[in-house]
Amino acid sequence: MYQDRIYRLARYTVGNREEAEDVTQEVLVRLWRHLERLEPAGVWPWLVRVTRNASIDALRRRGSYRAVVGEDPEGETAQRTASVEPGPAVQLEASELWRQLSEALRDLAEPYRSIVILREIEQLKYEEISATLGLPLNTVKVYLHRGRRMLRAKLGEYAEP
Amino acid sequence: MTPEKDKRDAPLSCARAQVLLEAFLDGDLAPARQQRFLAHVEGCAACRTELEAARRVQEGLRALPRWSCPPAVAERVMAQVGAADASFRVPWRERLAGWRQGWQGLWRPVCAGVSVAVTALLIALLARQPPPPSPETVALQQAEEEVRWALAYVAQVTARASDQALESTVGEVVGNVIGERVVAPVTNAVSRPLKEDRQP
Repeated sequence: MYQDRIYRLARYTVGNREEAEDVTQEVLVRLWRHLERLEPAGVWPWLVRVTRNASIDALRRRGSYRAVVGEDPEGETAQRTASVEPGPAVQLEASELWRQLSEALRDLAEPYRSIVILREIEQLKYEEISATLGLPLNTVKVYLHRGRRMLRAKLGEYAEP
Repeated sequence: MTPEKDKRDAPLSCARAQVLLEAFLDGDLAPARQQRFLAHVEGCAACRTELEAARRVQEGLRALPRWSCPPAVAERVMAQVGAADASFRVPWRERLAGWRQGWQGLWRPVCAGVSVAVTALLIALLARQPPPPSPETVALQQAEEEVRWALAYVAQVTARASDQALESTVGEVVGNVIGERVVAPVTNAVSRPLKEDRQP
């Protein structure tokens, strides 16, 4: 579903539910107004571009890339991908890792952040990311590797086994 | 063993292993290179730690919540679009472009429709029956025919008759033929509508 992908991209960029909802609403209204002028194959790349720009505008309006306190990674609309529920200790550790990961992700510069989100969270293929962002395939790979290394560096001890 | 093959079989350096680490995580390494990478990691604690950290980050990213868009957002979008529909303002350039695009798609059916209409009009014009002649027209046509007949008769008689006979013949034609057969019907036909017009 387009709206879920838009919402996730916005939420992992702006870092909180309210602003992500506002960004998603803005993007969907703009999609409604531009739909007749978009080719079917061009809808998704257009959505990613507009969502990314709208999210960055929201961050600019806010004035900073502040970390969001109280972000609940297990909110009512979250769907965890893990098929087995972990125990409480592992869950707590995972929550802490998620929080750190979310913050580190928000602090990544573009286009690294979008590429990491599209590859690791949306699970798109390299070719799809390349078409979506209009970047050469090898550039996408290089940026993804660089983005993950940056994340590891930001996470520090949280990334340690 | 060639120098090239020797180079391919040589153990990896840590720097080279770091370069290959991300490609290994994505499963992009060729089997031979993957074997060399794994052999290096097995014997190198630092690279093994780095690989485990990279795996942990990747698994963490993939386990991040896959949020769904709250239904309220879609409702707000529909409300906003519905409210904006009535007073939706599009810049005139965009509107013109939209019309142009619309006409580009419409011109074929419009032309086809116009062609059908013109053809139907032509058929209707060709098939249209002339209106029935009025009684006056019939009388005049009949009088014209009688005059033509009378003149032909006069010409024929004139050619054969003597000067004496001509005078009586002309008098006969004028009195009997033209007077009774031409003048009287035409006078009646023309005077009838005049009488009808005078009636209240």
